[in-house]
Amino acid sequence: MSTAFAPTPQIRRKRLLQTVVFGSTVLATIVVALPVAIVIEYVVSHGASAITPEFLFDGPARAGREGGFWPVIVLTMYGLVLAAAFAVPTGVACAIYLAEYARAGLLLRIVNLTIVNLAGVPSIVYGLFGAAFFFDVLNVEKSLWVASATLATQALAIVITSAREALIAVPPGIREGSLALGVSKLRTTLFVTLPQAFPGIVTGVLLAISRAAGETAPILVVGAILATNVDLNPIDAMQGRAQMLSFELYGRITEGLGFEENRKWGIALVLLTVVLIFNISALVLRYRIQSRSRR
Amino acid sequence: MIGRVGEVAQAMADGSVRPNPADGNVVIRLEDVGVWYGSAQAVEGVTFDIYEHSTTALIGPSGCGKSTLLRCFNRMNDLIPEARVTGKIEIDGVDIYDRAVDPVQLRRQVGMVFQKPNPFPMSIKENIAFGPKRLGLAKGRQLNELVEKALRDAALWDEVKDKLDMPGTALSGGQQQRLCIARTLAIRPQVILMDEPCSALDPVATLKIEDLIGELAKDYTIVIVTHNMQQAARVSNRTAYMLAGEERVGHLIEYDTTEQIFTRPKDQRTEDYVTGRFG
Repeated sequence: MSTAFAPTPQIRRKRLLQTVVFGSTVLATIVVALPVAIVIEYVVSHGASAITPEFLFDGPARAGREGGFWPVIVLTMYGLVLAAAFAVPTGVACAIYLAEYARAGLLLRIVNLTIVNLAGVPSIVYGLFGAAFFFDVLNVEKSLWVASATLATQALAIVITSAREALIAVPPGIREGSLALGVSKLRTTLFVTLPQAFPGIVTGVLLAISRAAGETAPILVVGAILATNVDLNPIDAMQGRAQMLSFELYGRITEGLGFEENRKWGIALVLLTVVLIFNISALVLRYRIQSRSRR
Repeated sequence: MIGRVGEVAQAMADGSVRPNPADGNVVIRLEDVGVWYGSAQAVEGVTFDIYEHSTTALIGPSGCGKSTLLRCFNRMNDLIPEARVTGKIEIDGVDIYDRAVDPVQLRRQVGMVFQKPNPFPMSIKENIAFGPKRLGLAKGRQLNELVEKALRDAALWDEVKDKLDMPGTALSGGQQQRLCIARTLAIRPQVILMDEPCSALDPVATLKIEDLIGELAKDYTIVIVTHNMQQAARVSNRTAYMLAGEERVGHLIEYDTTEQIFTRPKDQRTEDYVTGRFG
């Protein structure tokens, strides 16, 4: 029984096309998500057997072949927090200048382009820069804070770019509303624009710090070492040599003999977890600040 | 076609058009004002006076420079780097484009309500408290009282008194616009500029805002840009009609009491516009 609203062959063809296009986007999502799932599954299944309280909370023994990686885990956390402490205030301040204060023009375009390109500079180059700058120019000793600062220079590009985008995305009407009340531009930026851009900024910082957590090359160049028992008091630890999970993993993989396979995967699993903890805490922070501004 | 004059005459018979005000004090004095964006002139040679505790409407077709002119009164055009103002704009006898004038200070006296409601992404209460807090006008209990007064004055209190902690953006469009008006009232400006405040609102919300403007005109000097002639006729005491010619530069064509502009315009172009033959 046909009615006036029955689909014509033409409409049927269009519907089929829609289904195909929609289906392929679903497929693309699966193709992207699957490797991630496989990697995680692989790391977990190979490394889980190594995860014991001793592996997590003890110091290394027999050059890391026995014992655990507690110092490396703690120093990785310190290092990432410190890198964020270097990169976030500087990067956000820079983004505020670029988005809110700098006059549009050729110079600004060149600066923006340069910063975007900085994000594409290979990490080993940042390592070389860090080594040259800190050891040759500033004449400081190899230390965790130098490693963090080196990671921070690399993270800056991502932090600046994402914070700038987030600031630009804030509707101009809100700024005008504040300025029209006779509130200064600085206060408008700090109390209206910046809070509104905050979620976008957090996302950028997360991306940058997660990447920094996985970097090996730059910290290798500025003198990271394999697991050693050190004083974990933050002030002393910052001045001691860098120990980081990414470098630990690299070291253990290239070391070859004598290091049990599942302990390598165990380190990878811990690194993955550290990054996850970092991301989750930032997301919680973001959610709490957002819901506070809603109230 | 009866034309808009007919409607306005009807509105006047209803008593919704205010009688001619006795000339009060001049608050804003414009003298040969011109506005430029780079090398393009947007407004040229505008001279007229705006009176205290009255509502002045700027009307005219799109692109006649009425919003551009309005944004000169609180130096909002300063935000556009290439914008330039020539001539003289005095508020309370002070040349507001004088070097000694700080635009931030000026805007505390000359508030603005925008075309699109732009509440801050904060609670209703914080939206109102933002100005007084940042400007250090009040805190604690005093601030709470100020918030309530501003919301009452903006005829919004009864609708929001039980949900002051809700986000301002959760209100309806009309409520948002009254919130923005309340936000402006909270810093007690002398002049309130309104840039097509109802163009994004439905007729009922528009009517509420118009009633509110009528109330506020007792205490404030209001300048309103509108493309809605009925609105100009309903809310204003005086009306300035602006028009841009072929070269797209806005001029003031006629300025008079609203009654005069809508019933006995002197200029043919004004008559064409208010009778709906053009625009």
